[in-house]
Amino acid sequence: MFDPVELEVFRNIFISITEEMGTVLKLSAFSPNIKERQDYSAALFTSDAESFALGAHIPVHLGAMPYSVRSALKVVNIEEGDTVILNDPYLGGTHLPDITMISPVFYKGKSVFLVANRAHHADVGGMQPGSMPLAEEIFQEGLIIPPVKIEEKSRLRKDILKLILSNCRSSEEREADLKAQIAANRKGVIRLEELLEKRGKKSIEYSHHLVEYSRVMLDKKIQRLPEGKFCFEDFLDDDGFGNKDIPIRVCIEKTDGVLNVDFTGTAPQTKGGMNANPAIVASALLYVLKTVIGEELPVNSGLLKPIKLKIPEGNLLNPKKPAAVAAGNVETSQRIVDVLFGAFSKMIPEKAAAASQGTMNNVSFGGEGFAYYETIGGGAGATSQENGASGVHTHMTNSLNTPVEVMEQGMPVEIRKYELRKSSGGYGKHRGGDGIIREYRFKKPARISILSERRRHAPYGIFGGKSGKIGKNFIIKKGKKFELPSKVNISAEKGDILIIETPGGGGYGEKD
Amino acid sequence: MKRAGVDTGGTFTDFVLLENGKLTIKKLLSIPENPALAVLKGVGKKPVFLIHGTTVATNAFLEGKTAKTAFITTKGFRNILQIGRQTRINLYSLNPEKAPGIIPEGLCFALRERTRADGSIEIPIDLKELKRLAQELKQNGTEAVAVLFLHSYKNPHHEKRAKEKLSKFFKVSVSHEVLMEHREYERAVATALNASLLPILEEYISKLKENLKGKINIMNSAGGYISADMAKTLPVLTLLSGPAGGVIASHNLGSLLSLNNIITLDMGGTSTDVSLIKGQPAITRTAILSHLPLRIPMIEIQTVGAGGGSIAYIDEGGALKVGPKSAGADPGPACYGKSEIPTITDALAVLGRIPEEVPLGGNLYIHLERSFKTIEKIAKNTSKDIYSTAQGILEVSLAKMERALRVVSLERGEDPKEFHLFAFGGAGGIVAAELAERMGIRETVIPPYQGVFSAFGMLLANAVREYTKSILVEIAESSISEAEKRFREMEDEAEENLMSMGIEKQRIMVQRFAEMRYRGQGYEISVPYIPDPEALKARFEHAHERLYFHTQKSPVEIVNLRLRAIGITEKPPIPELKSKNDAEFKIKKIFFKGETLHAKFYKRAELGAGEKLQGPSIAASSDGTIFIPPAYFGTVGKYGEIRIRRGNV
Repeated sequence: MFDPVELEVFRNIFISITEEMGTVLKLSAFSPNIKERQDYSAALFTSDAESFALGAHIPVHLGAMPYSVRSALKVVNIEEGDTVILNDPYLGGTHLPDITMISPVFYKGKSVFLVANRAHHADVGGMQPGSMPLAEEIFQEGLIIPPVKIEEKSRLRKDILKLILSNCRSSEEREADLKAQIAANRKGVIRLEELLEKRGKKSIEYSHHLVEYSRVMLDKKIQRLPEGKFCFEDFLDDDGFGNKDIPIRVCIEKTDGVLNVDFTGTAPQTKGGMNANPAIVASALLYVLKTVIGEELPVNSGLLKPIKLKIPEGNLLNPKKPAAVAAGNVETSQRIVDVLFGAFSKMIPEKAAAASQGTMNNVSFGGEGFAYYETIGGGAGATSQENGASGVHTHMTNSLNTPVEVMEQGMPVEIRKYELRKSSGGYGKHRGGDGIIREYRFKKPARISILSERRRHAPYGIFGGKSGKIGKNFIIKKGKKFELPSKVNISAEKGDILIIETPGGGGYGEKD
Repeated sequence: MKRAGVDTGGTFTDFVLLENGKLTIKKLLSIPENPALAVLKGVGKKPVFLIHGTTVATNAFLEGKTAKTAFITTKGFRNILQIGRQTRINLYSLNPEKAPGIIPEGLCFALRERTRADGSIEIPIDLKELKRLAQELKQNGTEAVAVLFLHSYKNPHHEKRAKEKLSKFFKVSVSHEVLMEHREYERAVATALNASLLPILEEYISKLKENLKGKINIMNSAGGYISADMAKTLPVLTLLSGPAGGVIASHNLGSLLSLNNIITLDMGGTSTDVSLIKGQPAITRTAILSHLPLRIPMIEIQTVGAGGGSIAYIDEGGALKVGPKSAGADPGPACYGKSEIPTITDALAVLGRIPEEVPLGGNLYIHLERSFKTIEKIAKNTSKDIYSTAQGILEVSLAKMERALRVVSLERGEDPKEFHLFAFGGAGGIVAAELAERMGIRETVIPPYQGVFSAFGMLLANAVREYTKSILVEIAESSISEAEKRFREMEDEAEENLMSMGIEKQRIMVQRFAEMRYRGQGYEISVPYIPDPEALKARFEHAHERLYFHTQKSPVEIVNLRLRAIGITEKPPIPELKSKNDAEFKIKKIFFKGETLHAKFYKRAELGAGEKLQGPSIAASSDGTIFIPPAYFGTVGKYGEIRIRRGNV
C-alpha cells in the first residue's frame, strides 16, 4: 500500500523532472520546430518500460514512448552512461522525424529507471526536405535508425553521429538538436540520481505505485460505464495515391468489467504514408481515456492497463514494413481520436464533443541551405458546455507556431497572412471553432510537401450541430491560383504563394 | 522628508514609516473599491517620500476591469492576440481553452503597412486609413490603443508615426516602447496589457497626487521603484508590485547578516510566493501571468496555490489534496469562526502550532474547536486519526511548496544547501523549518516585522531603470567597441533619468549584461559583460555548459546589451534588540509526526537578542507565528530575526 501524501509528493517531483528535461531541450536547441514550436516530449520509465511520469507535452508522443523504451531494452544492452537513439517505426518509433533518446538511471549497480525524450527534427533525409513527403515506402521517407547507442559510457559516439548527419539536410542544426536531446536526458538522469540518493528505493516503489494508482482508478471508472457495444466509423480523405475514403472503425465494448477496444473493420494498410503503428493507437487511446473518463488521474502506462486493444495485422493501424508512415503519426492519429470520441459519445453522451479540425496541416519545405517543418492549428469541436476554441491545436498535438518574425528572419519565406478563417466553424447551439489561414511567399525556390486531412470529409458536428468547413490548400504561381490536393509534393519558384486554410471544428446541438 | 513604504494587500494595507531615523509600523484595513484612501490615511498630512507597492494594475488585470482598448496591427495579422501561439492550456480537455485574448476580437484592427525582417519598408503606412480608424474608435468610446507592427523592434518608424496620430485622441502604447524584442505575440501581449492599464494607473496616481504632498514612487515587478510618471506610461511594469517588496527586504536583511544566498518564502492566505536571491534577486523576463507570457523584467517569483486558507479534501481515489481553492479571508478557514471549511490553517491549529492566546492580525482569536471538527470529517474518510490527517494535510502542502522551491533553485541549477531560507508572511514561520529540511537547507531565518515585511522592503528598495539595445553581432573585437559605445549611450540616458527622480549622481550605479547565444538558438543566456571577446565568450560557454551540459561548435552571438541603472537609496537602520535570555514561556501540547510532545510557547515581542529557543517551541506575535520543530533550535539575533538550525541549545 502507498501513503497518499508520499504519492502526491513523488508525483510532483517526477513531473517537475520531465518539465526540466523539456526546458533544457527548448533553450539549447537550434531548429524552430524544437526551440519555438516545442515539438518534443519527455517522460520517465520504470526498468520494465512502464511510463510513470509524462510531461505536459505532445500527446501523440506520450503513449507511444513506452514502445521505444521496450524496443531499446530488447535490442540493446543498456549500461550506465549509455544513451540509445532510435526512430524506426517498426522498432519502437512512430515516424522518422521523431527521434527518441533513452538513458538509464542506475542505483546500487542496477538500472532502476529510464528517462526518454522525443523530438521532431526538421529533416532526417529522404526524398523531400522536411522528411514528411508523400511517399510510397518508408525508405523514401528518410534515414531509419534502429535502436543504437549514441552515447556509450557517457561519451558521444562520433561515428554514429556522423552517420546520421551525413544523411540529413541542414546537418549543423541537426547536430545541435541531437546534442540538446542528449543534454535533456542528462538532466533527467541527474535529477533522478539525486532523488535516489535522498529518498532511496522509496522513489522506485512510488514510481510503481503511481502506475498502479492510475490503473486502479481507471478500472473503477470503467466499472461505472454502461455495458454494451458502441461503434463509430469515420474516413481519411485519401492516401495521396488515389485511394480515397479510407475507413477507420472502432468498437468499444464493455464485457465482464473489461473494456475492449477493437479496430477490426478499419482499412488494410495503404500505399501512401497514412499507416500508423500500434504505438500511435496507444497514444490516441491514452489521450481519449484521460480526457473522457480520467481527467484528474496521473497520466502514465497504468491508464492503458485495464484496456484490451485489438488491431488486426496488416491493418492501416498495424502495418508491415516497408509501408510508408509519415502521416500516420500526425494525421491518422487525429482520425483515431475522432472515432474513439465518436464511440465514447454514444456510451457517455454527456461527454460528447463534436469533431475538431482532425488534422495537423503539416507543411514542410526546403531548398538550398534550409529545411523547415511546421503544423497549423484549426477549429476545436463544440461541446454541451461551450463553443469550440478557434485557431488552436487539438487532440494529438499542442505544438506552438513559429512566430512570423522568427520565421522571416531565419527562412527565405515571408508570411503574408496569419488570421482566423471566419465562419469556418460548424453552426449549432454551440459553434465549432474557426480554422486558420496561413499564406507563405517564397523568396527562394523550394520543394514543398503537404500532408493534410479533412479536405474531403468535414469534421463532424453532433446532436444536430453542423460540421466544420473542410480545409483547403492552394498555390499561386505567376498570379494564377491552383487548388492543391490534401497530400502533395510540389515545387515553388521565387514569388510563389502557398495558402493553407485549415478546417473549422464541428458544432454541437441544433440552434434554437 | 518622511519616508513611507506602503504595501496594499487584499485585507490590510501595511505601512512602515521612517521619520527622523525612527521606524514605525502600521496596519490599516484595505479599501478595495478605493485603495488610495487607505494609503492617504496611513501616510498622514506631512510631505512624504512614498514608495508604494500597489495592486491596482494587478487587480484590474486579474479581474478584467481594464480600460476599453483597441489593438492595431499589420494587415493580415489582426488575430495575433486571439491565435496566440495556437496552443491550448490544458492538454487533456474536452473543451480546449486558450490564453485570454486580452482585447476583444471586434476591437482588433489591421492596417496596410509592412516592414521587412531586415527593417526595410515594403509598404508605407497609410495615414489616411489610420485617421479613418481613429474616427471610428473615437465614436465607439475607445479609451486606449495598443499598436504593434511586424518587425518594429528592428525599425519602429511606422509605430512612431501611428503614435503621433493617435495620441491626440487616446492613451497609446506602441510595442517597441514596451518591449524591444522579436516574437510578435509576446510583444503584443505586453503592449496590449500596457495600453489597457494606462487609464487605470493614470487615475490612481492622480488621486494620490491630488491629496498627497511629497514624491510618489511605485514599486515595479523587478524590485526597484520607478517614478509615478514612469508607472503611468508603463503600468505593465507594476504587475508584481506587491510581492517584490518581500524579496527586497530579504536581500537587505541578508546583507546585514552577511548572507548572500537566500530563498524567500512568503506564505499568505491563498498562495505562497517563493523566490531566489543569489547575491542579487533573480530577475526573469519569461514570466507567465494568467497563462499569458509576459516578457517584462520581473523578480522570478514562483507562486503555488498553498496558503493558510487553502482547502483540504480527499478525492475519490483516496488521495489527499490541498488547494488551489482557498477559503479566502471571508469566510476564511473554519477556525476564523465563520465557516466549516478545512484549511491548512486548521490543520496547523489541530497540530497545536497556532496558539489561541495571540490574536491573528491584532484582533482575531481562533476557534480551535472548529478546526478539530472540520479536520475530523476528513479523518473519517482516510481511516486515520485526526492528528495524522492534519499532519497529512501539512505534508501535502509542504510538497507543493517544495515544488515551488525546487523550481526557483534546483531547476535553475542551484543547490539549496548553499542557501538560507527566509520565511515570512503570517504563516511562513510555521512551516519553514520543515521545508528547509526537505530541501537540505541548513538554516532558516524568520525576519523581524514578519507580517509587514513586504512594506519594509519597499522602504529599502532602490530606484531601478533597465535599458536594452538589440545589436545581434557575432562576438569579436569590433563588436566590443560597438557594445562599449552603446553602453555609454544607455548610461548617459540612465543618469539623466535617475537624477530627474532626485537621485544624486554619486549614488547611481550601473551593471552591464550581455545576452548571448549560439547562432541558431532561440533563447539567450545573460552574463555579466566584460569588454574582452575571448573572456566574454568563455563566460557564455561556461554558463551554457553548466545549464545544458554541453557546448556547440557554432559561432557565439551577442543578441542584446542590457543595462541596469540603480539609484541607491539610504537604508533605514533596523533597530537592535537588547540582549536577554530569560524570556518566559508556557508549555503547550503539540502533535508532531504521530507523537504528542510538549512545546515551549513564547511571545515573540518578549524575546531579546541572544535568546535560544529549543525545539519543539513556538513563538507568536500578532503578525505571525514561528514553529521550531524537535531537534531544532532557534537563536534570536540582534535585529530580532530568529535563526533556526538543526541541533540542541
